[in-house]
Amino acid sequence: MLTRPSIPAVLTLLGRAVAQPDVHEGNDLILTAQLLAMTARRAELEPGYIESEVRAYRAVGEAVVAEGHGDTVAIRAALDELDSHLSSGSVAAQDFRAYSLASEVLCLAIDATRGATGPATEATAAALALREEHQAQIVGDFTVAGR
Amino acid sequence: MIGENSVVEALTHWLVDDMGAGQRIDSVETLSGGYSQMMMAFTLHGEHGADRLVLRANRPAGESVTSTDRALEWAVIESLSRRGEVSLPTPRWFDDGTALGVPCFVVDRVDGATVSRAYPGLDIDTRAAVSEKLCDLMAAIHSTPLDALPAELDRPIDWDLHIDSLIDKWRQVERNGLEPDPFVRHLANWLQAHKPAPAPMTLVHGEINNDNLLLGSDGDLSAVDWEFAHIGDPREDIGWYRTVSEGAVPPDLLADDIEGFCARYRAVTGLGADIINPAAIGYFGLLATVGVYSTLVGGPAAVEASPAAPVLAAYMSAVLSRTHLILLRAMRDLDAALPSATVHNSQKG
Repeated sequence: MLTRPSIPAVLTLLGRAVAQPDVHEGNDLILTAQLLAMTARRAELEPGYIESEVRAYRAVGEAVVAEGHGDTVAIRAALDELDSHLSSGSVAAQDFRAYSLASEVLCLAIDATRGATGPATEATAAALALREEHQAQIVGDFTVAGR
Repeated sequence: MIGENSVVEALTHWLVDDMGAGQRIDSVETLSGGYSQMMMAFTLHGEHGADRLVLRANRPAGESVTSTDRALEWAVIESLSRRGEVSLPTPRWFDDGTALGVPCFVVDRVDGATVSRAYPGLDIDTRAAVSEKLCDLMAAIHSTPLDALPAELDRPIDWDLHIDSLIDKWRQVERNGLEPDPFVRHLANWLQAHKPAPAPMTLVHGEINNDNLLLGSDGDLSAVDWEFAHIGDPREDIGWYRTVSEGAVPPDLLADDIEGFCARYRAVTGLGADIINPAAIGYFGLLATVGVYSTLVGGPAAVEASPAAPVLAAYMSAVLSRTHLILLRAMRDLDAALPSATVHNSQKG
């Protein structure tokens, strides 16, 4: 799941675009309609997805460190940074910084478990699958406008 | 932006006054589709008639979206034209920037249309014939002896290092994004672990798509826009063609019979089925997508940088999300067909 650009940034841009006097002359209205539908799905689903994915990626990081795969020092540092951020009192369900830090943990886990087998590797694959499932829900029926 | 009137003046000075190549120039027309370079058609009138020609020039500083070398592109097409094995517009003249203020060259204009435009009007038999011509054109490009090419073209010293450098582009894209991207990290690792059998290094066009293929009125199929030509793996061209044809520049002329394409390409080039097969081509389709993907990742940054960014920038971020899903599905589809690392590269990464 991609959380950038942020939903407010997209909506601000679209709001500005549809106020342009020549908005009916190009493809922008078609693109805007598609983007609004996708942004609505993001607004509805993203907070819950962020919360569950941050939790899942954190668990993956801990499992990879416990099994000693790859650069455990780097993964530990990434986990500590995530934990430090989470303990600062931010709301995980709407916290893009937490999502970014947790995604980095998953990235490191992907590198660390390359070619390995075992529970941590399976957990990494499952976390990736969870991310894909959520992203598919947000993408929904979005298709690239034809040329 | 260089205007058409000033181009007539500059071309007249260059081709008529200095070169004595003709008597006058008119009918200048800006060509669409040349997103990276400036393309203009014009007519050069001489004693023996009129020639329809195309000017290809660097866009002025500040207007360009890519940075490629016109002199190198000229050297490539000139060397290919001299050999006569690859169909492309005949190169006429090159100028280093003296004539128009930017490096440019002139080639013959092909009487015909891009495959993108021509294809919908073709009957089934002609479509099949065009697909075979595409195979033959690619094979001809990839059969060019390396020593016939300009010395300025980089020669990768090793296939593995070359592929690693392409995979590394994916890693760089991921590092430069607004947020960490586990899908791209996974893709880079997957590409590292699933390298197909190495192919001999060849000339690679670098941007074969239906907008850069011209179907002449004589039925000949020729390749234009050689700015990304390089020496690499020939499957870069085939994989990229398929990827871009499925998305941005349809149709995919190989989709109906990819096995037939592979068999024909193997017969022409002499390469084996271990090298030229649908799975290996699929691998290079993923590998080569990094160019477009690099452009897409600029979308989110542009949106967050300014509310006045074009809607297209926001749209690119949505396309990015969809592209992820396509890449993941393609990896899964190829998983069974491409053996992992242990066969060829033993986890070098």
